[in-house]
Amino acid sequence: MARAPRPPTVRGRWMAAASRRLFSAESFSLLVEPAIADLQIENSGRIAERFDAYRTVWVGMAAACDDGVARRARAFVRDNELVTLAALVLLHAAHSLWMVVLLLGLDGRVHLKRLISAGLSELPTPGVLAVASVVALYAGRALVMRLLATRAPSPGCSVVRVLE
Amino acid sequence: MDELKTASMSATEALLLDLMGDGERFGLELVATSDGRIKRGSVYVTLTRMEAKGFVESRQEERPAGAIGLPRRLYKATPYGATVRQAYQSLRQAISLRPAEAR
Repeated sequence: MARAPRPPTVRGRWMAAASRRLFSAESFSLLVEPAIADLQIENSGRIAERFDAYRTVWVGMAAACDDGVARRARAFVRDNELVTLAALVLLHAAHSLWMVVLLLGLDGRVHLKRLISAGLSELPTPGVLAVASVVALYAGRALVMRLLATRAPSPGCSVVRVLE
Repeated sequence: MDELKTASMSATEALLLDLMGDGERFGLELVATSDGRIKRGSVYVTLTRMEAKGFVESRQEERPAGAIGLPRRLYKATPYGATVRQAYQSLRQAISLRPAEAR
């Protein structure tokens, strides 16, 4: 029985697929895609040149990552999310402190002071906990938004899209 | 009063514009013609920065249907890039002195 012909092997396929998901369309098409395209047309058998081609792709990916972080940081400040984050941290810290104060008030009946002081000596301060939880909330939200975001198809797609 | 922003151009950016000339070039082509003065690892980062500054424009190469692999990108100097390049060259010539003249 004749086997179905295998698709031609193209270098950098997984890097292209991963980059498309990780970076913005603009960063991908300007920084990563041309480097991978060069890697794919590289027909030199020399290891040094191959290594150089892969290095170019990694540099492009690092630059795209940097570009993405800078873009998000600018959007974060522009959309006033920094103020929201600061307000949330303060609110959370105040709430945590208030709860501690309330619990300390019950000290006469349930000896909470001893329990809390023992616990606090091992746990980070309420402020640190508050900051950590708010950051975790924001990171979770960003991750969910990233996963739910619909991706616009790239007009210049080729073998990567076909093989996917 | 509106404040004018001065365009900055590094030596590498100037060299890339020189290598481009009037035509369209691939990134790898620019590296190959630079005699080792431009590193392959940084060429696309530099070209992207230049595009953000408005010195170059780029487009994806046209490929026949069914072509395998990703399309490459062609870069071309913009009239603005050429003007800034010319201005920087004139400025360098105007303020550079020979050692004898500098004394």
